[in-house]
Formats: sequence, C-alpha cells, structure tokens
Amino acid sequence: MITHDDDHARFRSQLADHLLDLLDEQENAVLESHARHCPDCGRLLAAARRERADWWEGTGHPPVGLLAAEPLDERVRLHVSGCADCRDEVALLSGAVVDPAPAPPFLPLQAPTVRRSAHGRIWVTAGSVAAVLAMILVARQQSAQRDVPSPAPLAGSTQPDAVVPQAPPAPPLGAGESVAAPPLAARMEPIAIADATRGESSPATAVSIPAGVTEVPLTLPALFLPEGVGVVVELRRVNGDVLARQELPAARAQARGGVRFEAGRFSDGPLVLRVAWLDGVSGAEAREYSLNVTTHH
Amino acid sequence: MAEPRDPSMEGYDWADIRNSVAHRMSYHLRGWEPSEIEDATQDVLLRVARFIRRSGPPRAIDGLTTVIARRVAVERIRSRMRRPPGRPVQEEDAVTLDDSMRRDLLDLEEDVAWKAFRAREFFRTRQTPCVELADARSQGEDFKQLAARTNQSHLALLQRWSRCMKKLRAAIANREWDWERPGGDA
Repeated sequence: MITHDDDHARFRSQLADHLLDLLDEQENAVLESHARHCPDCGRLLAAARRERADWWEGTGHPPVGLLAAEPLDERVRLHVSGCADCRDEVALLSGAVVDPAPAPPFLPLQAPTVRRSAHGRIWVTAGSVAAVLAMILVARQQSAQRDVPSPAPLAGSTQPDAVVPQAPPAPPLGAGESVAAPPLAARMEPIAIADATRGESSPATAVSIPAGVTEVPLTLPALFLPEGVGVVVELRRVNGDVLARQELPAARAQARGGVRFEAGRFSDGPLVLRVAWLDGVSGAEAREYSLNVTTHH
Repeated sequence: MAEPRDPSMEGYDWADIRNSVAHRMSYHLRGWEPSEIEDATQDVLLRVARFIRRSGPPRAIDGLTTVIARRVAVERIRSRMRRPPGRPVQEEDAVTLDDSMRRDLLDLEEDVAWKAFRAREFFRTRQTPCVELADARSQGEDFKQLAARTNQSHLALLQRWSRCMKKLRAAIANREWDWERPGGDA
C-alpha cells in the first residue's frame, strides 16, 4: 500500500523530472494528484511554475557546487574540458584567476546639466577672457621669437620650445574616436578585426606585432551593442586557455582601437578573441574572432 | 541578510562581501531599479551562504561570489525578458516566498541543473538529433520559434522531442546512463 509519505517523498524526488518533461503521462498524473492533496507540495509546484515558465532555459552546465568540487567528478570534468565558460568558472572558483572588480559606472553620453550660480558664471566668463588673452600673448611671443635667437636656458626654467607632454583629452564615449592611450614605446595602428559573413565562420585576422610595441590596439567589428552594457573581451588560445581579459564599457570597446592588450600576452599562431556581454534583450551573448598572430618581440 | 550565526559562516567579512556583490550586481544589472538590484544581491548572498553551509569554506570566496553573481544576473535578465511588455516588475498577485520556500526552490534549481546537464550530455553522446532541441530550450527558444527559424515542421520537432525523452527515460530506467548526482553537492 502506498502511503502519503511515500507519495510525498516521490513528489520531492520527481519534481525536477516533471519540470523537465522527463516523466511519462502516468507519473505526471500521480505527481499532480499528490500536489492537489498536499498543501506544501502544491505550494512548491505553484511556486516552481511561477518562478520559471520553462525550466530547461539556462541549463546545460553543471551546478556551481560541482564545478567547485575538488577533484571534479569525472562526468563534470569531461564537460569542463570542452566548455570554455565552465573552465573560466572552475578557474575562478579555485582562485587561480581573479576577476577584476567591475568598472565604475559609465559616464553619461550627454553631459549632465549643471546649474551654475551667478557667482559661478562670473568666474567662467573671467576664465574664458583670460584664456583668450593668454592665447593672444603666446601667439605674439612666438611670432617675435622667429626673428630673435633663443637665449640659453636658465637653470630651472622651461625652454620655450620644449614640448611638454600632455595627455590627449579623452573623447566622449561612443564618439567613435580612438581611445586615449598611455604613451607607447612604439605606436601601432589599430587592427580591424574581420567580421563573419552571416552563417559562416569569421576569417582569421592577421595580427603582426612589430618589435618595441608594448600594446596592441584592436578595433572590433560592429556589434550593435545596447547602450550602457559592459563587455568582457578575452584573448584566448584555441584550446580555450585565457591569455588576457578585460571588462570595459560597450562604447569604449566599439571605439576604434578601443580594445587593447599587452603585446606580451600574444603568442605566435592562431588565437581567438572572444567578446561577451549581457544583453537585456537576448541574454548572454558572445562572438569569437580568429586571429593569426606573428610577433617580432 | 540576517547576521550569520552558523560557525561555518564565521571568518568572513560579510559586510565587505555584501558591498562587493552589490557593486557587481549594479554593474551587471545596470539601469535596473535599486530594489531589483538589492533583491538580486540578496539572492547571491543566500546562495553563497548556502554553499558554505553545505560544502564548507570555498577555495576562493571572491571567485565563488563572482561566479554566483554572474549566474544570478543571467537568470534575472532571462526572467525579465520573459515578462510580457508593459507588465510591471512587481505583480499584484505575486506571492512572497518565505525562507523555507526559497530554500526548497534553490534545492529544486540544483536538482534541475544537474538533471538537465546530464540529459544534454546523454543527447550529445548518444542522441545527436536531440541536442538541437535541448540547446534551443536551454536558450529560451520554444519549438515553434525553432521550427520557423530552421524551416522545419513544428509538429515534427514536438514528436522528435517526445522520442528523445522516451529514449532518455529508458536509458535511466535500464541503468544505461549514469544519472546519480555526486555526493556532497552544493
């Protein structure tokens, strides 16, 4: 004779199978019948159905607890060996890799409206006038110096012709201009990553890194990323090993030369550039681009 | 989150972990309401605490929070996508889950994750035509959409899925497919 306790235990053990369509009609009928008579199980079934319309959605990878286990279960290990995302998670869970803290919130694309007091306006006006006067004075001084030999530099003074390095102004995000970069030992033009034709794999982009270059700028193909999303760009070996990784705002990632990796991270031969982001419309998205690297370090 | 009293939960700077998770969720769920971000943060902390209680101290607490935060963010985004346009975030008829129900649902989620993972592995190694269907469902695509996208008959896909499930059930019943979860899972 089957008791309530038997039914109750069976309900708990079979609920996942029920939600995944793994039960046959008869088993489903028994499970639903129990849920109608047992308030606790009925509530759990209702909550489960309310929680997700389709419990298959988002599945396909082992639970976190199994990825964190040491050693990995053989069945999990087999999956991980062929799943780049799971390898990343195993590396994070083991502490072998540390995910950098997310970037601070992005600046808005439009400059925020700032209310200036009358006192502030006076200073802004005065500053503007001073800047114009300074420019006129500098222009006059330079034209005068063309005919006069420059005097020997005084100790502690700045030579008139000396170029004072200044950081270039950062372009507004999404402006499509190249991103301000730290001074390079040798500059390298950004390399445009070849895009895939629909339904085909992307052609490998040739990346030749000259000697002396410390940083390799890359320009991603148009990805039509939603405004404000963060993008994770990884440089990987073909077997999935991550050589370098960075998180950056979509607007920055899509700028010309917006993705930059240290030249030392590259190795000769085929590599993969993986771009992943969380899309509010279509969920987790990723694109992979093949690179064919030649280094002259 | 309640102050942890379980000895296994001691030794962690929970305020620091909470700040880190909140910062990460603000990043992943940028543009969302603060209450939604706070709810997702609580969900991550609940899962982290549950992991520690069941499996002991993790090898890297930062890695654990990072992985769980990412998974929760993806779940939340998927969940929001499913909500019909114009429907408010807080449904009027929504039932507030108590702690016991939340724990039951977390147990259920893990059970589902393991079984769906093993089902997909079964299809991948033994029933290749089923992989396309399992992957579509995993991506949140229903068979009607898949049929339209791949120019197949919707009915044919439903029948194929039914056959896939039948073969999987038979393999489990005949112990031809290792279905048991490893012990000590969190």
